[in-house]
Amino acid sequence: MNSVASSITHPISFFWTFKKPLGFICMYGLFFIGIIIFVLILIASETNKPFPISMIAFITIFLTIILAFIFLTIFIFEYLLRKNFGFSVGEDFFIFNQGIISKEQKNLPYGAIQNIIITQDILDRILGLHNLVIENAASSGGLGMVYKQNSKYPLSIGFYGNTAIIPGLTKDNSEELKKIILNKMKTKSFNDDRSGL
Amino acid sequence: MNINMSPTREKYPLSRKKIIKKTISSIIGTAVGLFFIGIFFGPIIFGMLTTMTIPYSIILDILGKLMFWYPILFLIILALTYLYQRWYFETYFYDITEDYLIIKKDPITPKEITIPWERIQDVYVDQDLFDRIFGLYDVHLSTATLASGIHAHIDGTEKNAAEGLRTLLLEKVKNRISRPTQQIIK
Repeated sequence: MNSVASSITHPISFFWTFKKPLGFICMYGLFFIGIIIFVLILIASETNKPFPISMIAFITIFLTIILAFIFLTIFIFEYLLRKNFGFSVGEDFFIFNQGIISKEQKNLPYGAIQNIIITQDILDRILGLHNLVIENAASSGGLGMVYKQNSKYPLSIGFYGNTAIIPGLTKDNSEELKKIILNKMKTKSFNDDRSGL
Repeated sequence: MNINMSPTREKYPLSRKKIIKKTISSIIGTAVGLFFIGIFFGPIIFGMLTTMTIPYSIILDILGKLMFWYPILFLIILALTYLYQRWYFETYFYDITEDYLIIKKDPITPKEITIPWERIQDVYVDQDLFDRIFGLYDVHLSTATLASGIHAHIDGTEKNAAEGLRTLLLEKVKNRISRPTQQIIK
């Protein structure tokens, strides 16, 4: 199939897989450690004698193992998501593939794309990544999924309802992909209804 | 000030009053929050101090210091908010190009939306309470999607600029959507 651009020419950065686990560690890891330290201080002040060093070491190691386990679990999940996600800018349709176990494909006619958004959150800024969000006016990509659209972006990768997200692009790649899609929207728009609805 | 200018922003500028308006409207929440934290935690801290065997004069001293630092904390937050809003104002970017409307904002976590003129579903202008006080207008646009409603708006313009923007946008949309009647009927 001849495609102008795809997930091979515009790959999702490998660093992207670290984003979620890092975010998790930043959010909850520090929170856990804070609580543990607080409890240790409380116990120390109650019993009024120095806290055994071995206990502190044990708790630290235990916590590290738990956090590492969580980190690894999320990392593997994100890795699989990334590995199973693909897109290609075809002749008439924008084709997305996703799904680790149950596979899904979205075929998006260029004329139906409503708007294109490029966003970055804090971790994206740190890792130098860009999210490309493509939206059409479909209410959902399957039954029973509409309720999830209440949140702003239900997903970090892939498509859901009317939104498709390609994360982990470099600045140049995201700009280039945006230009390609905008150009396709212009040349491949529906003849009888240019509103895309 | 190093403003992120575009031809459109030069013609229809954002008002500088926007910085003050946004600072005030976002600091009010902080002020109320600090007030309630003070009301709830003040007596608790006072109670804790009185249960410990500390001389009364030291307790008063600590409370005095807290009373002194509390407004200063508020002023620091106020200053940071002002600087952030100024930065936000500087980096706010909107441009009306041949085919698309581009809006880019937020200095820390940037969001850029590109909308083709044909896809715009409505244009509306609104004012909230603070906008009325400062005489500012928000111009909103949206396509058929939810996120476009969240991202695509030009906030804090003076009346003339808002009117001008609205007219220009409507003109653009009208020119793009209108087409010969035969084509529609077929």
